[in-house]
Amino acid sequence: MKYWNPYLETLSRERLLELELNNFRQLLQYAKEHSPFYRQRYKDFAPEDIETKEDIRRLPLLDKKDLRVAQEARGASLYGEILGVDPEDVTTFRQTSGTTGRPVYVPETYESWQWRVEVWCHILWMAGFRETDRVFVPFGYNVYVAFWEGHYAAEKVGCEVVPGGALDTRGRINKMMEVKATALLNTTTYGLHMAEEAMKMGIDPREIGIKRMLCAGEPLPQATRKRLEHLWGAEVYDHIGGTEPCAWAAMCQERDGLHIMEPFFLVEILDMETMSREVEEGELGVAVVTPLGRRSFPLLRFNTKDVVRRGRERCPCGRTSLMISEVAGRVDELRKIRGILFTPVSVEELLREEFPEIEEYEIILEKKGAMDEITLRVEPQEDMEGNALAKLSARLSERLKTKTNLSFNIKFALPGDLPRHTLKSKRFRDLRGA
Amino acid sequence: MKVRKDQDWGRLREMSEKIEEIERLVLDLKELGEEMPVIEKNARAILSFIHVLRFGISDVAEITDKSGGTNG
Repeated sequence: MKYWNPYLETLSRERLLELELNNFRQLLQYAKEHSPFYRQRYKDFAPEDIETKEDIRRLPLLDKKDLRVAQEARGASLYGEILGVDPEDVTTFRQTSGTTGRPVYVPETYESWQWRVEVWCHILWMAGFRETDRVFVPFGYNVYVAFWEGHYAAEKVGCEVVPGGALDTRGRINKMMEVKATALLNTTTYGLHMAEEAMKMGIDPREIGIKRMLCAGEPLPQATRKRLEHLWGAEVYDHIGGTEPCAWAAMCQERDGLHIMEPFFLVEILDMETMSREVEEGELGVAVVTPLGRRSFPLLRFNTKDVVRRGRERCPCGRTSLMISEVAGRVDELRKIRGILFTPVSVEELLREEFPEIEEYEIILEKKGAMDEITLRVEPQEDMEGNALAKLSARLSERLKTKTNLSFNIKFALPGDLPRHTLKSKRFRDLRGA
Repeated sequence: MKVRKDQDWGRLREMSEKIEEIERLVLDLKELGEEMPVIEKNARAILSFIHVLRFGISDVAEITDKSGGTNG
């Protein structure tokens, strides 16, 4: 069958919105009754005040710092006043990475966890995962949510799951071949890294036998996705989510944009300047997400700080959910440089699509006097020198200018000089505050 | 977009009724179990799946009942 749930996935836009508003009202009611944090926060709002999506925008946005403050007042529970269930009902502890501050603890009950897993079943089914797949997960699971949902959902779909956590990269490559894995769950960066490592082992990644790959944890520009497809000889799919909001959008087999997982989530894509208006098709905006079926840790209007481009409403796959055509990065990764809005992911798109001779790269933003200066350090393939490098530099400058409206300094690094990333890439450094 | 046949919406309603029936049976089982762990914990697991089925089936049945079963 094409759809995990044909009724839900082809429901009309009107019915989807009706479901979402119903569930939002119920969640608001539930949150006020069960969580001291929300009782206070929404004391001036009642579910019956919510009739349209515009009404929802009268409720305040929820930020990560709000979650931290709510958890600092912990009282008897590790999870603080935001917990929506009795502490004894919590069955799973997870936390955020803590890169932007103190980690947020995210509790799940058995019920809320199964709800999250169900969303992932949709995601895997859309990406073609079936009972005949043997899914390799090349990561160790831990306090972060990464890959846990995928594992449980793959089991529920009926796949066979091979957890590859305790092995190094070469060990994982060998194990994938040994067990004849057909599918992978990994980060974009690690997918590239494994392919590179396989080639060093004298193995063509296409011979490993992976037919489909679902990427997680970082943006996946189309050019990078196609590069992974070419390297692995597999279909490569993207999705977007987080520890707090869950996985809220994912790719279907058309592999052209992401479907918002309606009606599991009510998603608003708001303008970056005022956060008060839903953007039009083709516009960039910030995703504000409300997971509608999760009561352990109610999140209403959570500002994900993910910048996405609103996509079309229809897809050839027949699903009627709203779409995102692009994940542009994080709000905190966007930079105004000489008055121009810059997204690091735009450089990755260009390099992956047009410059296969570049092995690795890094973007550095610095202040030189009163001006911002942006430099692209690139590591070309080993056999390039002299004239070829000069031509590459000129071509890079010209294409970057066209793509970003910015003038870049181009610097070449020696082969192997630039850092290699395994889990998530960190190719952008803003040194202006340094 | 293809409009679902009436019998499909009928099937949806029937599935929704079955979900409610399963929930009632599980709650009865829970009561009979008197907190015996094997019953209590497994019933809890089943009720979690009911929550999921409500989202995907019962809620859809409820709103399509009101509107007469149209889809996109």
